[in-house]
Amino acid sequence: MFKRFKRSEHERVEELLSAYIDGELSIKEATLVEKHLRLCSACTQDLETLRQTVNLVRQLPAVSPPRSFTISHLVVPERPWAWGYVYLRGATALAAFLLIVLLTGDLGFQYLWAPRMAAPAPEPMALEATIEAPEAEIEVPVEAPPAREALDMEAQKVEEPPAPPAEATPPAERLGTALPSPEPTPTSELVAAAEPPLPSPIPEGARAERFFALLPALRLLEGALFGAFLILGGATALVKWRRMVSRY
Amino acid sequence: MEEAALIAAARQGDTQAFDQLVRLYQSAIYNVAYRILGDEEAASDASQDALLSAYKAIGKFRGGSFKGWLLRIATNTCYDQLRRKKRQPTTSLEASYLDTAPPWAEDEEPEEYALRQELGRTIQRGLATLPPEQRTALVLSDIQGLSYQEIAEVMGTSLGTVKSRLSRGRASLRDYLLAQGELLPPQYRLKVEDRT
Repeated sequence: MFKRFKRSEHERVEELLSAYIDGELSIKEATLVEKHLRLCSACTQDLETLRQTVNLVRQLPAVSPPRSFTISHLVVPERPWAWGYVYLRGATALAAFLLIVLLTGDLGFQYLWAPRMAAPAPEPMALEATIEAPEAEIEVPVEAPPAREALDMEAQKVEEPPAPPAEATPPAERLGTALPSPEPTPTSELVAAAEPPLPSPIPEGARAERFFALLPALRLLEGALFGAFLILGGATALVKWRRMVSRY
Repeated sequence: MEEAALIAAARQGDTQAFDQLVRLYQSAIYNVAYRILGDEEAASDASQDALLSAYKAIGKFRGGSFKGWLLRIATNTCYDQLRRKKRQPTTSLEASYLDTAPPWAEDEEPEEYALRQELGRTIQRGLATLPPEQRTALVLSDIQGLSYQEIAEVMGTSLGTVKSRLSRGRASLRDYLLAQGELLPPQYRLKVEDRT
């Protein structure tokens, strides 16, 4: 019969037998196993059958691979222009993006912003009308001839100076913005007295002026970007086609 | 060319240099895959996949044993295949082992060859009963002859875990072979002394 051992030591030695066969135990562990084996026939037998098992597995001859597993025929070689393709594609996308942004801004101004600014145009026109109307009313009323003459003279004075600035700034006129006359006239004083002061349209007009001044440069830039997009896109497509041709 | 020079060339995209490395280690990789998967076609696929993956990842190789690094990729590829097989219940792992006859050395007597073939099949079936980690540890140790340290590096685990997996795997295979008893050729049967 087997001699009874502490279960923990027996189980521990059973677990160590495999490494004992390979000489992978520490001196302390090997000593424990050898001491236990002298007294435990079950473990001695386990050690023997384990050795036979290991020997049988080690006898298995190596199997020959049925084919070669070289990889060169599976790998698509990296072409020197492989990175060039990546950069080309990125540059094309960038050109397209910038072109879209510029065109959106351009069209947005022309069809959304400009009409909105053009909408208040009648206001200055009405203003002019009101300016003229009182003049007529002022001229007609019954007043002393000297006073009428004085008014005519004043009107002549008024007509002469404001004319040049009004002609010098056609865009402002086109947008219906009225520039203030350098010298206040009696008629304008009358109108000012008759109507509340108008909000100054100068900032928007100035912005519009600035935009119109930039418009040719913007169109030039759009054209250049479109050209760049066509060239880069064509080059990208060409490189891609070459890659596909070289792959198949 | 030396291994280090071949590895350096392969890092630069030289597929011919990598092919030379493949020729050096493909037998070891295929044998490990074959013993883990138990099927010639699956082992071929796993070997090819593993070597292609190794080529793509060669930039990540940080020195040490190149063979160990390749074996690590190969065993992981085998685990992936086993997981896929598990998800496909139509193909039984056991069935693939039963259908496969491992090739043997041709310089043997026909009778001896037949007996060894039978033993090989039995061992292969026994290996199939082990959990993949124990099977891998056993294959790397007793078929490939790797040291415990090398096995730990290939499996990415500690020495203690390797000892434990190997111990349990060998014990389970021993029990399987003992259970086969009469089915094994007499010269390959495990000899058990009477314990009384």
